[in-house]
Amino acid sequence: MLRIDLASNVPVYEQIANGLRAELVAGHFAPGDKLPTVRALAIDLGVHHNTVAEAYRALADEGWLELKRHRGATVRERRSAPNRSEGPEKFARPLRELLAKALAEGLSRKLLIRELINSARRLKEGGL
Amino acid sequence: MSPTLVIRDVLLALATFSAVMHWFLPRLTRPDLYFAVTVAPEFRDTTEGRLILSRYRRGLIGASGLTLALLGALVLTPPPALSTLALLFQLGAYFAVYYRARRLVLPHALAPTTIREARIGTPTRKIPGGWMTMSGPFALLCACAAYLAAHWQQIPALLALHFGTDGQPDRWVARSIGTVFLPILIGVVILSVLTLLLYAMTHWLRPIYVSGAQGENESRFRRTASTVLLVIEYWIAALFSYIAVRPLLPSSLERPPRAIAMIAGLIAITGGAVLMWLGQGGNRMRSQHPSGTGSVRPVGDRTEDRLWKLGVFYFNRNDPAVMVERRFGIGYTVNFGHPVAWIIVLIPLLSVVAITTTIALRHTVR
Repeated sequence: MLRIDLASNVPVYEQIANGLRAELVAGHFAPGDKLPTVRALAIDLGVHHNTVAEAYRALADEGWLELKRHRGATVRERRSAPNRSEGPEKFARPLRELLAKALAEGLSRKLLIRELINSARRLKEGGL
Repeated sequence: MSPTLVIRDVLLALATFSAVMHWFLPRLTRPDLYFAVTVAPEFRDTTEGRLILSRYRRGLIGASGLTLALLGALVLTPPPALSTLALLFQLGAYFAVYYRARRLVLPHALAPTTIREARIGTPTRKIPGGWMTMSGPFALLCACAAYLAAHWQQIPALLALHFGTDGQPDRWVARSIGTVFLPILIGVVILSVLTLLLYAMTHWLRPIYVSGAQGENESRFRRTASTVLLVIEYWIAALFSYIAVRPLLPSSLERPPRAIAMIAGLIAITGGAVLMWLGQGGNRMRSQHPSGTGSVRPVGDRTEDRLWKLGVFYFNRNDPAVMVERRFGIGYTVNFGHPVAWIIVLIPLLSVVAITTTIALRHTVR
């Protein structure tokens, strides 16, 4: 299930791309599976078609999807991610910022550690 | 039974059905929508909420009494069709009663959740029975058109266009391609719009919940509403097929049989009762906040109150959905901010008015 928050500071297209990426990384879709059409997903989420199309294009650029006119989006076989030069800092910085935001909003350190451990465990088992 | 009494009884049945439905409507909507206003789910059970409902129902009783009195007076005044004004009065009076209740709820309005959900994967947009079932009514009308063309010489020179309250024809039209195939044409226009409506209900409608008990309830309601619409399509195809081939039928079958009206009534009452029983995520379902988000805002129908004009007409240009769930009432309504909605609403009206006016003006013989 894909969930977005229209009041979030994160742009909607990015939320859609993030949500779909999470599903793809978790292996909920096999190569060749079809995703909902841009129109159908836009109706379900109540957002403009272009917003969904932008999210699909972002995922296509990352190699997750194959987009064909009038045929929708198909999941691609993605053997390995393109080599990134930014290194682990690309992941670590936003994670630190997210943790800082959570602490500022009053979430306890204990809860955050538990969530991080759970995530690490799922990651180790091949899930997400 | 005299035609006047039949009309009185039919109107009385319609007025009673409308009264019963409006009595229960406030409790058949989602718990966090009260008189088309987004409120806390528990609001309807507070003293204030109950008081508003009680005032609404008192207003309904008053409006129903006035409708009955008007119906009683009009049914004795010729022509009998004048009695239908009583139903229009009832509609207007009920709207006034609803609107007063809505104004009392408005100060308690809350902003709905900003969370939106979508199911990825399993396709849920399906027409019951698929395209084959949906093309059946069109096939029936096409078969009738072929039958009429094959028996053209047997069609009388004058065709009955209108029947009086005594069941006898009182207006005729001369035989021509336009007049013979007019019922088929009107049937096709009506069926096209209903098919568009059916497609919109299954493909251009945003679900409010995509999972859990409420999601299942919504899907069940949508499937049932689509099936009812499909049954109506078959009934309309049968009705217009009968009207089209009537000149070729034996004289005993030329008068419109009562079965047509009885079947229509049966469909309306059964369909209405089933949909009311199912609700639409309504009072039988417990309220549910989007889990895991910490949101305390009501879900409602995930649309803002300001987009609902008078709480009845949804107008949102930024929403790609053509149809949305009605806030006060059973079923769905169109998004008037979407161009396709205007096609659904206007084209059938204009087509039928244009066709019948043209034919009546050019070919009617009294």
